[in-house]
Amino acid sequence: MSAYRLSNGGLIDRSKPIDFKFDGKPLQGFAGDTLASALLANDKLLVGRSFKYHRPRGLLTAGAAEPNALVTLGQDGRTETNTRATMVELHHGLEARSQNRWPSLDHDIGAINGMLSPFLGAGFYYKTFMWPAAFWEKLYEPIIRKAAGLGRASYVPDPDTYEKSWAHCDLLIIGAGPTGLAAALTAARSKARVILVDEGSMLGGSLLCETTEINDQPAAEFAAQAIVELSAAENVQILKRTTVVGAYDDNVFGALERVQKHVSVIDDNKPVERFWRISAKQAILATGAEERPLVFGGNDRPGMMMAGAMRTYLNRFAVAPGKQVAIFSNGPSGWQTARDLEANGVDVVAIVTPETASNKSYQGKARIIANAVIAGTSGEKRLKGLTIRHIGSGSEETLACDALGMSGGWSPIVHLACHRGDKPKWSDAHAAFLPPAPRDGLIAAGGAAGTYSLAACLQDGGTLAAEALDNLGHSVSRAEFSTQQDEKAEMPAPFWYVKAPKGKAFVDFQNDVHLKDLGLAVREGYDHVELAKRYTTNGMATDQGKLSNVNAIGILAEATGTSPDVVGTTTFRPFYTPVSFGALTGSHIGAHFHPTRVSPLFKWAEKHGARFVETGLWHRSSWFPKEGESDWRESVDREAKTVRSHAGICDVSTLGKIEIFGSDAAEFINRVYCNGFLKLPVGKARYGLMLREDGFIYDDGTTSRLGENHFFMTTTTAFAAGVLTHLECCSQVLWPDLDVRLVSVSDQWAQMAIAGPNARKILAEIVDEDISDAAFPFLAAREVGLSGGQIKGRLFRISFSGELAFELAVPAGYGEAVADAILSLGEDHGITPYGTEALNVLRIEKGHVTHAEINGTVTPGDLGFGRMVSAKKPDFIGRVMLQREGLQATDRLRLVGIRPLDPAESFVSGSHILDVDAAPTGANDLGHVTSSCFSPHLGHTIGLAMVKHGPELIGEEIVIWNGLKQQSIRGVLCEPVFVDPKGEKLHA
Amino acid sequence: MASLITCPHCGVRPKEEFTIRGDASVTRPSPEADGEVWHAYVHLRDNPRGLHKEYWHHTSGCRRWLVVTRDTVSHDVIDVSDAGALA
Amino acid sequence: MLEVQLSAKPALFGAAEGLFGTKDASTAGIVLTASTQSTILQVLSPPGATGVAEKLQAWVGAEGAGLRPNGPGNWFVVCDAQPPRESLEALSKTLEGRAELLDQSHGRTRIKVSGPKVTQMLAKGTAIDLREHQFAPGQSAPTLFGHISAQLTRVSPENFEILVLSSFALSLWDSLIVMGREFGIQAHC
Ligand SMILES: [Zn+2]
Repeated sequence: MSAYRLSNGGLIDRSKPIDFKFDGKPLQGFAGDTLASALLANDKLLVGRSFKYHRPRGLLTAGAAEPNALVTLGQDGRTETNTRATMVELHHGLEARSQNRWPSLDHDIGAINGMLSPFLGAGFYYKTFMWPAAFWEKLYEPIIRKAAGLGRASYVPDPDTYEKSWAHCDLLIIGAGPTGLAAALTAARSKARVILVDEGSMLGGSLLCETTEINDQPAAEFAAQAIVELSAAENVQILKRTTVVGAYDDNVFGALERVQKHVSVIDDNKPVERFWRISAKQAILATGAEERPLVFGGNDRPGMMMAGAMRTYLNRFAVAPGKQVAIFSNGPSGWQTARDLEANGVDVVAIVTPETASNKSYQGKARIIANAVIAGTSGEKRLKGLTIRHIGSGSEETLACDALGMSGGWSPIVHLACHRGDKPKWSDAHAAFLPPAPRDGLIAAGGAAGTYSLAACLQDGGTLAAEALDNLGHSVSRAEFSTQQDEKAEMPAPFWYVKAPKGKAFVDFQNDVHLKDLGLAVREGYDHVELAKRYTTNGMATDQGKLSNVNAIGILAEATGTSPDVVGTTTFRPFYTPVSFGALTGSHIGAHFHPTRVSPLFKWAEKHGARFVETGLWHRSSWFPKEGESDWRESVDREAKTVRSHAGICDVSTLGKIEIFGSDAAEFINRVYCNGFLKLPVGKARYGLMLREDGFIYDDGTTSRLGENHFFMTTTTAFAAGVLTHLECCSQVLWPDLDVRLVSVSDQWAQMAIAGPNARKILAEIVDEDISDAAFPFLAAREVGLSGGQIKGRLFRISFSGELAFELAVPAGYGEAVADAILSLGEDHGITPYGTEALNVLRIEKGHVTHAEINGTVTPGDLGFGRMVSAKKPDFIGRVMLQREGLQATDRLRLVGIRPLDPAESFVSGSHILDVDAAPTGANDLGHVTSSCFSPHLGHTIGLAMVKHGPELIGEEIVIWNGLKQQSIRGVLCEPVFVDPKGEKLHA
Repeated sequence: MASLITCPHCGVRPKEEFTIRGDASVTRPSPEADGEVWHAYVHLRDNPRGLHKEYWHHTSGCRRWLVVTRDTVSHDVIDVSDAGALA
Repeated sequence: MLEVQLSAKPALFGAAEGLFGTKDASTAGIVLTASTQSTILQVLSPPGATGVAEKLQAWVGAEGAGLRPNGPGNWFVVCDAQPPRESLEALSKTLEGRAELLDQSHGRTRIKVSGPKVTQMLAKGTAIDLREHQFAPGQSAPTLFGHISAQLTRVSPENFEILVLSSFALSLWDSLIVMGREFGIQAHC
């Protein structure tokens, strides 16, 4: 036994015991504990195994930087690996498991890595597993990953919900320690909107473990009262359990709030985590400073921790870290810790310091060993003793102890000030990297700016808040606090490492990087800070080197004979601490992964038994199985045949629809299509091909002229949004002088195709106007009344199927009623609903192209539309570039039809076309099949293909080769129109 | 990249509301212009370090095309104006 | 000709209704209402046209309708019910030569969101600063709400309206219920 709970003191509630488990063993802590403090109170010094050498490790910190005490929480979908025990609030039923050990934490076979360690130095992976290359993926990597793993993720979906939210404020205060609270208390006096964020469950930061008084109150009580005051202020919003993890341009901050990570029973009406984007006009970085470990032999044994962490466990959680505690400190922190330990009746056996003089204000009983260092330590799963080396004489002595508090000085937590690329600056006076100059109203204060005394922090927070508010036009006076002036905290010169350590002297605890690794990196030429980081992996673990980076820089500086200033830091990137994928995804998972668009005819199709297919954000009806049809092909064949023999109705509402107005509307449309539109008569539709400026086809569709200055354009479903944006660009950027206005009306209209020889007969029963061929010829487009003028719709005589066909658009809400009316009116005429699959069959049979052919690499000429391109128009998008030689060449891939030589054989899209007897090589490739289907009309597979010299090869026998299926069949190239080549049905 | 863009029509909005098209310093040549001029317009783009003018579309806002002048190094947005010169 | 009675179904027909996240309607922090009988008109004017906003303002004032500026030369006019025919004709007449008037009653769906927690909930969707002095009653703006573009209007301090493309209405409706659960939400359409 060494660590134990004190009988009184601390901010825990001894009347509220909490049961929890660690590696299956039931333990007890109190409300107010973290998992870490509760483990320590139960004398659980060994909490994890290190990443590479599997060394026994204990708690090193009491906060966010913890590299050792990583545990797995939760079960199944709630499994959360690599959780820092120091950040977990103890709650009933909490079950934590240690990681990176097998079969158990106490008996870990992987610890053999520790014995192999001479072979596992820096750059080991790069050197050892170089050869043979093929072994890396199959052999080396899996073994290394298994041995050097962190926790194991679950494959079960997470049952909890996550969300994102925006917040806006005038002043964001990051951190609610003394500096942040002083800033917030000052800002609360103004009318400015203030957000105060702190990662802890209890606000106060270092005040929670301070023993001094502020305004004649103990520090923790002062903090508690400040929170009460701030909570009552209307202009202050407090976000606790929230870590600001990223600072982005324009003072937008990312913050992770742990809403329900501390509760036993999760309320599923609430998210477990919420990711905030906070937009702030000004921000104060009051994140404090991180204590630096000392680098000496065996500095990683359970029982050793940062001196400041020891004070936290002692004063805030009432846990004594051991019975015989030693201190190794460069600077004042260790002395304060010794004083607090003794005040709580804990024996301090020695204070070791490389400084030459004793700390004058220390009056305690501990033996002071100045001008000395710790050369090595003993103990396996817990610390047993120290080897102390006197710097002057070099003599060594041993000392028994069960805990050690260490301090190598403090590093301001500058991360957020550096996320936008600014670098921190080394200061010899502070023996630390200080934050870069303030930027866009983000300013560091207090410990984060290298100010360490409590009085100075309180003053700094208040002053900077008042200044920030002043910049925003809110004048307030600074809140004043009385506190005892600390002794003048002079930082000694940094002490980077103990020379000739006995055993490994760890720099990066989480990644097991030790002093020798850095030395090796320098010797092998990887002394640049960014190279040394990657060569040794220092700072690359999940803690991102919060404790290790500055020490590594100091060591590199000494090794290369420069200063930390010259070595510089590695790049600070978000996130400051790990963020769950759940929080980043928010509510956009599963069915809400992206929004779903619902066609106005969705419910109509569903009612008639449609099967749906996801296309973009839409769910389109793809076929309508009838009773007795077991196979989708059976339904599709029937639908396609019925359309050709009788009639069919299909939902085409998903097409993009754009209304275009203005006195220059015709001119505008003429410029965005490659074919002519100026002379399109009112009441007529025309097929249009839209090119990109590079001459390739972008999209196609029909545009109808509904009035002299009023057009209605349709686009393909897939490119609806893109075409609208493109047209807006043309009208606003290229030709702002044209009088044209355009707006999407895609959602206003339910649009249905009614196709087949009986289409007119059926429609005539619901359309008020005469729609005979004479009155409503091919390509007519007009507004019509329906069912005796009950509603108005738009009727177009256009056809994708090649049949006598119409497209009818009605106000979306009426879609279902109209489609149902047409179905029932068409019953006697043999009408069937049909879906996109049959639509595809019908269009392939007619050789109509879609984006399967228009894939961004084809020109109008490639599709046989060469003569459609206007030669007269002075200008249109794509005109000049289309004339390029390469786009006019005859050996381009061009559209043809394709069928199997033997009708019993079939092929699929993507198959390649080869000369008969040619080997399937890239050089012999003649082209490929772009669309294919079974044609119920012809009784065999047909396809469209893009083939070199295609139209010139019609009638030729070729090979259709499918490399994926290792299939090769004979085929024949043919005209791309398989049904009604003269278009008689269309014009019926 | 800026997090927030001040649309001259809509005010301050997050970058997610916008679609970026790219270089706004190029001008569409006349249809009679030389092939090389067209080639440059369609295909060649500078990747400047420092000030850069780009077309941004306020897709989830007013749907106007804007010209955003920004610094590719500091990420500062210097100016946002309507591409069609609408006030 | 056969007699067929054609009736319209709103985009939110059959959407989820009832209480979510609470069992007691009086404790619901959010009330979600589909406004299915609305007439929604879109007005487009050329950049140079003058006086359109004033004319629209006068008409909506007289009609008790709402005006939602959607961008330069672009407005939505929303009416809780179908305005009288003469009134619509009058509007069309005053805009003649100045602007086009389009019926988007079916193309857009109007959702009313209200309650004491409404700004907290809407902040989950939009980056617009919804503090009252930044986005005052009467203000309206097109914005991105989650992954969906929509026109957001503050009708009064605790009453907002979302105007969304009808094909997205169901998706948005479901997202709003998810966002509102923690405050207790009552939805009816
Ligand atoms: Zn805008």
